[in-house]
Amino acid sequence: HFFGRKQNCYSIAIKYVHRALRYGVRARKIKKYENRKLWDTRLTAGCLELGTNYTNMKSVMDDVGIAIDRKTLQNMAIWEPRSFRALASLTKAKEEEKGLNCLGGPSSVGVVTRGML
Amino acid sequence: MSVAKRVQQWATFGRMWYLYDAKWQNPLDSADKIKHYLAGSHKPIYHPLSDCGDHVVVINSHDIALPGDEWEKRVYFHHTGYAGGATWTLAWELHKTDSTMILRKAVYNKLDGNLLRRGRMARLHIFPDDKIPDKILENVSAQLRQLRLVPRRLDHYPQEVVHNFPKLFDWPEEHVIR
Repeated sequence: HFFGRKQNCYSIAIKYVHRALRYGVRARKIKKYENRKLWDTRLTAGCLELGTNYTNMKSVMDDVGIAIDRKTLQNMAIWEPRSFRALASLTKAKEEEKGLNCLGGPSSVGVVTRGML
Repeated sequence: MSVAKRVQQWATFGRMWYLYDAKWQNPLDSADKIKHYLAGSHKPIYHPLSDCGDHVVVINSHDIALPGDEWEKRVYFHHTGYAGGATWTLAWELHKTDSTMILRKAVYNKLDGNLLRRGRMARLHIFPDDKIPDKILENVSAQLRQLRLVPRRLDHYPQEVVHNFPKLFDWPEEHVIR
């Protein structure tokens, strides 16, 4: 994939090959970061299509105990839309209880208040 | 690919044409919304290299509403490249010469500054009023929700509705309002 003398002459090509190898090593870290950013974009898009919020979804899944990672989640959003829709409905149901996107704060469902609140 | 899957593929990757009414909307906030549709970031299948952006047709760009005193204070810089070719144009002056420029510049500045920007801007169609060419109007398939609520003008309500609306207080007939 080199062009001109870079692909045929050793002493010129070696410099570019070394650069390509350096880029390859550096890119291993960047790939993880770029992929995660892409997954986040895709998941925000998927959530907004279904009427929720990505931050709320993460918060609710954390609360409930669903430990699906971003990679699987974005695959679900693309290839398993009904499962993803189920997660979005769960978010919508739980976010009111948790007090996200509202002025009231978290509700006291499942909290021992002894009638004080 | 089977016949059914082929149709699903076409439907998933088909390019949409969205309509956005910019009447009395903030052009900068509208640009924030429109950039997602131009880039394709509103789709779960988004990838920067997969050309998944949609077209956005903006109408009534003559009636945009910049916040506060930005009409007098906001300046647009342009340099022709020649010596002494720097110009600072105020927003109202720019709007007078070309009513689509403010929105175009807003969207251009909100898009990522990479090589895909020019292609995405080519898919943005801005019209100062609501007269759209037929070829473009045929393609429009959906509408984007406006950001700010556009209230109905008092003189656009029918007279009997205004007259019959309940009042707590009204001036006496002989009273002269200074």
